[in-house]
Amino acid sequence: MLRDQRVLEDLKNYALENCPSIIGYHEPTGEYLYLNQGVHKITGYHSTELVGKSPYDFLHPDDLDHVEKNSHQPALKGHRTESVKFRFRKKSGEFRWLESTVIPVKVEKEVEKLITITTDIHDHHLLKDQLSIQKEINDEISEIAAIGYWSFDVRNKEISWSEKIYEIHGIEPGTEIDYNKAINFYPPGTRLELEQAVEKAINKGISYDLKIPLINNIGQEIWVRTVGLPLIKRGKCIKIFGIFQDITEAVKAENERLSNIAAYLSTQNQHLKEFSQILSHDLRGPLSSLKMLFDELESDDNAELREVKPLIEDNLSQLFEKLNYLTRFTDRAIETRDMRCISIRSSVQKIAENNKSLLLDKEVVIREGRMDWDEVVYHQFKMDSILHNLIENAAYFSDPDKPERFIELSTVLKNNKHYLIIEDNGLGMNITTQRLKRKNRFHPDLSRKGEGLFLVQTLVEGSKGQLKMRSTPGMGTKAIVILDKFKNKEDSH
Amino acid sequence: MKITVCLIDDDRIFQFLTGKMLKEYQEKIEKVFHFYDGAPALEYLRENQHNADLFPEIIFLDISMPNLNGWDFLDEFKTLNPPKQTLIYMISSSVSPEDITRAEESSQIDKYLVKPLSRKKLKESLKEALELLN
Repeated sequence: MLRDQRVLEDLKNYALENCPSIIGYHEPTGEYLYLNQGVHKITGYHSTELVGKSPYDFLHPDDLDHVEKNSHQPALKGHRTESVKFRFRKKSGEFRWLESTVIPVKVEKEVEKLITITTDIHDHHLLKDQLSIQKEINDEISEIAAIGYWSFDVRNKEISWSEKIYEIHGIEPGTEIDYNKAINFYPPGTRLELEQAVEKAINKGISYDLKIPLINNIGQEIWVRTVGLPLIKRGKCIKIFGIFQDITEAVKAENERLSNIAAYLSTQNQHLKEFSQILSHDLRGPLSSLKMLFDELESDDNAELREVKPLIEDNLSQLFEKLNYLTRFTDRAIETRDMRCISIRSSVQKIAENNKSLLLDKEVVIREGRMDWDEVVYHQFKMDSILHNLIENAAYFSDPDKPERFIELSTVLKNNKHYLIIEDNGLGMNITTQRLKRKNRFHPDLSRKGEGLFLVQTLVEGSKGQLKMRSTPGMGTKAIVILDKFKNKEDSH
Repeated sequence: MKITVCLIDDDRIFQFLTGKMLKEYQEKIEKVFHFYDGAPALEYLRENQHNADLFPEIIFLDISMPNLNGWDFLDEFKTLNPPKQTLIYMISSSVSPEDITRAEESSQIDKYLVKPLSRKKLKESLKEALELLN
């Protein structure tokens, strides 16, 4: 028995000396009477250096009152105090975070001595501080980006939302929320999608990132982005956590952008359709006649048919011209990036050369007026088509009764807008509409079908420009092309 | 009974060949009038709207013409008082669904024919027209 008591005593001493915490024995004033070896490991002091001294001599000035009020005084009143945190100056001079439990030793209700058990919480405390700072940062980011964070405990089905998520849902922060309540904010189709994503996260550990609509507590449809990341432990998903963001404004902006694109494409498609009909009709007409003629030649070798030979040649020429035009257009129209620096003067010269016989026949000269600019970055084929149609029209509708017939080319820079102007002193037309339609014709006495101007309008508007026609019968016509989306060569430097 | 036919089309080859084919029906066709635009055709019809001998029983009408196109011609034709029944066959190279539907829905158009007009198609159309006129 005596031997057992001695072993037990040895064990106590061994535990006391090797305990990682500081075990202290104090006078009621706090003065150290005894400290185990743990003090050296934590503070750098040997117990002999501290015995006889007061702990207050080593506390951080900011923690003196806190320790006295929350630890020392209650202990003197006979209460055990726990988890009082403070900073203690080490032998090296640095302060270290410690946490103490104080146990009063009473003799007949009087506190005779104090026992303290002090542990080192420095690293833990710093980590907690950092986490607290990080949380503040997160909250700020969350507020700015309208992002909330959440978690779902798979085991007990508990859901935890940040304040922002409550706000997004339009409900009071702290309102009790469960899985069913949360999922019911989504419309049925979306609910199923989200449920499947959650199921995959739980069963297969697959994360999700969904952009889905939600009906908030006041019945408004909003769009949210919800990201869920499964937390796997021992091969099993125990928690899903993630972020939650109100993306209604972004979705609205995106929808508006798509709607604008759809409207633009719809207009372009309409232009393309009309253009395609022009070409289809112009090609099919001469082709049909040729087909009839060849059918006739096959069945009847009549000398009379020879009379129509020039007409066939003319028809064939029209057909090939349109065919070449169609081929060039379809090849190049899709090359939307085929923008290059174009000289208007050179382009007009080229077109004049190609229409030499027409200009000579009509005795029309091309001359220059005001030329604010010459070189532009534009779609080459479109520019050629615009100039070709405007110049060819002006030549066709020249006035044979006028002694001099001209087509005047001008380029004007006005209010940062670039104008290309083709003016003539021809027959003129009676234009009553702001926008041209495909079948508008303005010259009753001539055989042109008026589709050239419509084509010019289509090409110009396709590049977000504008065509304005000014004309007076008997005086002449002015075609004003506003090239909005192009760069003057000087501007590009 | 012999009938009068009006060909209204700006395509001279079409006019020549269709006119030539119509000559093969001399026992049924008295006269063929050729017009290269809707305007002179309308002028002729207006002048002869009380003359049954010169007013046509069949009009072959093109859509796309330089001055007065086929559709505008039809609008103007409504204002006339034809002295007898006149069938209007619209004949065009247009395969645009818009034109075809419009022709089908028009009470003025008896038939829409797509070019090229073959001998066979013309024969069938004439046969059908003569049956309707009798």
